[in-house]
Amino acid sequence: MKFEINLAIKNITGHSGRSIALILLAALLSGSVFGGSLIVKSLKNGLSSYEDRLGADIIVASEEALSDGKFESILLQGVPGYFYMDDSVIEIVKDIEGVEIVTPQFYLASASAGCCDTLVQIIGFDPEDDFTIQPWIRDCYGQTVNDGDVIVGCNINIPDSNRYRFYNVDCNVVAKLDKTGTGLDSAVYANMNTIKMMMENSEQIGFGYFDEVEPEHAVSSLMVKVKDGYSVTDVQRAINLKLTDAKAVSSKDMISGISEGLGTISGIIGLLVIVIWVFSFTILIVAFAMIVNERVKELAVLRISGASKKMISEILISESVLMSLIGGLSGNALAALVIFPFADSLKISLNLPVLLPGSLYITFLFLGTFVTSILVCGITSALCAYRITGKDTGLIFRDGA
Amino acid sequence: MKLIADKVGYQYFRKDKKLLFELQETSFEAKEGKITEIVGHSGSGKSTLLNICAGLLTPSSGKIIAGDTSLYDLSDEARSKFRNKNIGIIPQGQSVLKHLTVTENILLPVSMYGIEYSVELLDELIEKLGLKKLAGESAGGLSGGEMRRVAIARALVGKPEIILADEPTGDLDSDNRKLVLTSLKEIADAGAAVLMVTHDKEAEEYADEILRMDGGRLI
Repeated sequence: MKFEINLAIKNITGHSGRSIALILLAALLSGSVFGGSLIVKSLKNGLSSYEDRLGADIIVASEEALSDGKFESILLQGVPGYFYMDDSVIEIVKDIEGVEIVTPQFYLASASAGCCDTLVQIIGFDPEDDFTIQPWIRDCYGQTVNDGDVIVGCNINIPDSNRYRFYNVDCNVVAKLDKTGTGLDSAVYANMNTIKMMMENSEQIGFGYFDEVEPEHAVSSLMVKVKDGYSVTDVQRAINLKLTDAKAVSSKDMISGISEGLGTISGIIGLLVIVIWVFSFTILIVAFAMIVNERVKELAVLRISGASKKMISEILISESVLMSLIGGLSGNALAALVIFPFADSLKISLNLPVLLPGSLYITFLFLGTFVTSILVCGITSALCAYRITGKDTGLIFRDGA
Repeated sequence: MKLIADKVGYQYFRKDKKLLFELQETSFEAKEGKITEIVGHSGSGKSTLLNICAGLLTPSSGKIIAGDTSLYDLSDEARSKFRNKNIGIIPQGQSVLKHLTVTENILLPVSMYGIEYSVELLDELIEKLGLKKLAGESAGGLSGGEMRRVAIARALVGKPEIILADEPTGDLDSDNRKLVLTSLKEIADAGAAVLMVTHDKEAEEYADEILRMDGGRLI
């Protein structure tokens, strides 16, 4: 092994306290940027995925569902819930000028009782005219969802039997959907007939979900697509004028709240990352300068033994590159260990959709931040090396650095 | 290899550009097989002159010639390599890398450029300088005298033809002082040019030539 590298390794292991402190700083530099960028990207992905999954221009639901946040809880966090309105709203909305398609959705929470295998959100849709869930299912399944079939979100485990029972309806699990980073990952999807069977059974068993609406006339929400050339706001206003117990909201309005939240969180994370970088960079420069000053005699011993200024610089730079290599790797690995398993907890605590980017993006981000931290440490130590080697060794012996 | 200082001068300025110290034009020779000693009070310029001779402090004027080579005409890299091969330096005070072992410290100059060294010479130096029991130990735990002996062994392991020693007996007890001076005498007897800076009266007995310095000039 080259002398410079060999000595750099001995210097690192020989001064363990100092080395650990510098490795921790490098870990902080690299890990903070990697972790921060990963969270921001996951939030942006989550929002984009949420936008895609909403798919409609306008959403109609009972006022209670929209104002209590029940609807958002289902979509964002996958908290099982239910809310209904009378299906007469379908015809009312269909008749409004500018409305192209209206498709109903049904939300039913499974129960922690013998009639259900697991507690989840069940979402019913009409494969005939659905334009929000069906395209998504088509991508993952590509076949017709028959009566008794269910498709599960990516957070739902598929049992060995491939079957789930909800309100005594035996369902065959036919597919698992791709991750969206939203509450929809924790839901189960069924067609209209299947969910009607569940709704009827729940009524017979005694769950009082339909106290205010007849089960056969119940719908949870309407997804509305506006015709080209019509203003979403105008159509939304027109719907609201016609409805009494239900309310229409535009998808953009729903997303803008999340978007604002995401902007705030991204800003805070960005600011934190900048503060950590400025702080770490300053500490690194001060630390390297102090360490080099402290090591003046040590470097002078190398000079009298025949080391050139270039060799001294190579030793110092090798040391910092090796330490930042260890620090960068462990910092990024630690950030990954914290973020990957806890992405769902992050979604719940921030109340925002979180969808981790693909492995290629993560790999590039990992390598990019890792290499950057190595460069920062390398440049910092090179500056210190330049300063110390710019002075005659004789002067170092005479009056220190 | 002979070492010649030819009209070497050096001016040392403070940060406010005020002249703090001046080594006036100095010329002398350190001959092969001889111990040349520079004596004088503290601050007289002895160590400055020695550092210039070692190629570690660029003089304001004049030149240092080692053998046929004018040291300061070489680039830093070439001068460092030349120093590594031809000049053994015993600096003032403690000069070991404390996190390395005694043997690693001694072998520093030869391992630096991957030069082959004589294991017999290494063993002989360790034995003669009383470092045998300490050879595998970390240099951080050595006493001042032991560190000085390590520095001597390090200066000699590459068989240099010029030895520069700055106060080699400073802060040593009489046994260690005698050991160091005897070692330097043996090196000179073997043909090396030894230039020693000291204000140790006992060391004068070992010198073949004594140069006295005062106020930055030889008198």
